[in-house]
Amino acid sequence: MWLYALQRFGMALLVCVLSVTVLFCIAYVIPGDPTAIALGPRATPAMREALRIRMGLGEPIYIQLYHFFSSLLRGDLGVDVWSNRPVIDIVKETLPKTMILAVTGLGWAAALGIPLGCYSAIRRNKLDDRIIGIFSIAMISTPSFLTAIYALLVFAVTLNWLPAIGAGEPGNFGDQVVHLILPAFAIGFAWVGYLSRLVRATMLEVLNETHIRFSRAFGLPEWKITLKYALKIAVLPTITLLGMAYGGLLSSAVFAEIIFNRPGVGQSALAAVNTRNYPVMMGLTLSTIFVFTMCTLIADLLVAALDPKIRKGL
Amino acid sequence: MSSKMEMEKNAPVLEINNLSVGFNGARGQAIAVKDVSLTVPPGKVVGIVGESGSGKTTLISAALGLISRQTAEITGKVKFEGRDILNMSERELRAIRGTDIAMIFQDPMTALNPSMSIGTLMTDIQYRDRGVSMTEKRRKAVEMLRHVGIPDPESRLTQYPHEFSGGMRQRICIAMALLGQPRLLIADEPTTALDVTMEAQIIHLLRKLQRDFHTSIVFVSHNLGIIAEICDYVAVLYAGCLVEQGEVDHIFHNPQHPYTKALLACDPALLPEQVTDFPAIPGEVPGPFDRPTGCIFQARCNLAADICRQVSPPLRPVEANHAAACHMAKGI
Repeated sequence: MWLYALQRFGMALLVCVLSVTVLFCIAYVIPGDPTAIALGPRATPAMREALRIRMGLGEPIYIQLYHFFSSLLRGDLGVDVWSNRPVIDIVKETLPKTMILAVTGLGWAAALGIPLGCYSAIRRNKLDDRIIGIFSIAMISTPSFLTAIYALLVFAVTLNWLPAIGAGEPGNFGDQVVHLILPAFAIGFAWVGYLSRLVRATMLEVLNETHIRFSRAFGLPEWKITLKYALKIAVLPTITLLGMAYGGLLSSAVFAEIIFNRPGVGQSALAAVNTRNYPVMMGLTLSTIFVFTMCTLIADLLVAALDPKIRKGL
Repeated sequence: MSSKMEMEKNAPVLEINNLSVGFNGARGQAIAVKDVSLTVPPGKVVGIVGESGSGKTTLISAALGLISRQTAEITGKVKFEGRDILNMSERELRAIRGTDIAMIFQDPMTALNPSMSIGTLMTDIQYRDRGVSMTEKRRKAVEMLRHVGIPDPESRLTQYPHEFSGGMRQRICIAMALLGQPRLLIADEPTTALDVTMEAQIIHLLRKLQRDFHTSIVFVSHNLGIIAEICDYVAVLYAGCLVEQGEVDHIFHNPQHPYTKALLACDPALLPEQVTDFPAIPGEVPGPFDRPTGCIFQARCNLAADICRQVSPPLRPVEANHAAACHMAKGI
């Protein structure tokens, strides 16, 4: 198990390094002069040249890459071109907010989607299974921005139950929770459908396996067979999916943050793109990659821990 | 029932009367089992032998109420210790399974849940004993594992199915099946997936346990050698029909039905050494949709006469405790 964990960790690290390198190279080959954008149209060529040397842009790419990684290891992601704040501070400020949003969104989706999938599998092809199926597909096909806007219209504007924008007062926990509900609802909505369909499919597959028939031959209650004997196996692909979904949600939380005007990675990234604030963009993208890789790593390790073959074999 | 098996003094454990199973499909009804009657006396081993697709598994599944009435048309009667199984509710059936009737399956590699330890599997199936403590349940599990010949059972309780070999897993399945002290054990080709040495050990074990626990066994197999070794009675199934049944010695030494004779002639274990051509029965088993009128075996039978093409032969006694469904067999 520990060897396996170490292997997976090494792989994750490699993925991070490679994707960061690719990202860096893309930024390098993209046409356009960063100094021209940073200094504006009225800058003289001499001023641009001075900045280029100061930013190390004159060096060959491998030297730049080396500088980039060595400062990365020191936790230095550069400074915001406009405000001169260290980018790492911006990441520290925004990333947790987005992560909380993604966790809540996916959390309620899993809490509802997994039991729905189990129930569908037990009641396969009966009326309630069909109804759940129709709703699941409808949820999957609803674009999340639409869910967000309608949720906003119904619960914030018409009913006025929940606040429409912002993340709540800093320090006021209750207020922050109330502000979290609508965005989390919006980004988790489609995932309820995905998860219920996935769990139903894997569950049906497992329920058809011989060992389930063997357990039935002992007269074990059907609920116990489903929840203990089958779910333990059927949930494994779901965990893998959740790991990837969480990473994916970090980026798809962008629209929710924009629609609900919540501070977070998405908001800041959008602002950085609009103002050509490359260090901030780079820092936010890097941290998203890092979190994504860590999530898939955790999911992999969790699956391994639940599978006795891997847990005891390695 | 024309067999004299029912002359046994004790009431039978399982009694199947004129059981037919048909599956309704787009092409009409597929008949998997036709008019089978079979009796399992207490403490005896009854073998069901037949080729693949002869309806062995369908027969026992239907007899245990494992086939849903929604998908199949089931007629006839199945009685377990006098109780009608076919009309039981799912709840009543569940109450019987594991305590009165237990099953072991063909492939021990897939029969045990891979995500649970042997100890969990074995204590879980004792869920009916509510008052019994966990330590007591584990003790019973250990005792049963020792009984089926698993060395060092205490420490193996924490292990998972993948840590056992195929033969060991089948032993565990048998231990689990016997934990509820069932009066009837259904063994559906329990050695087919094992290699030959393991096969012999498992057969030996089943024989021993059958004596120790006085359990009746229905042993399904296509291997005549194993049937001969373990069974008291044999029923030969061909295309869903019972063609011959009786005491194992009679069947093997004095087969009356041409199919049984051909089957015995094809058994590689009984062939003289150095044969270049393996004998085979010419023709094909009739499909479930196109069953002939008259005898089910006529198309492949070298004795077939006009009567065989017109009248389906009933199962009739040919000697004591031996019956065959053939017009050509000499009756008593």
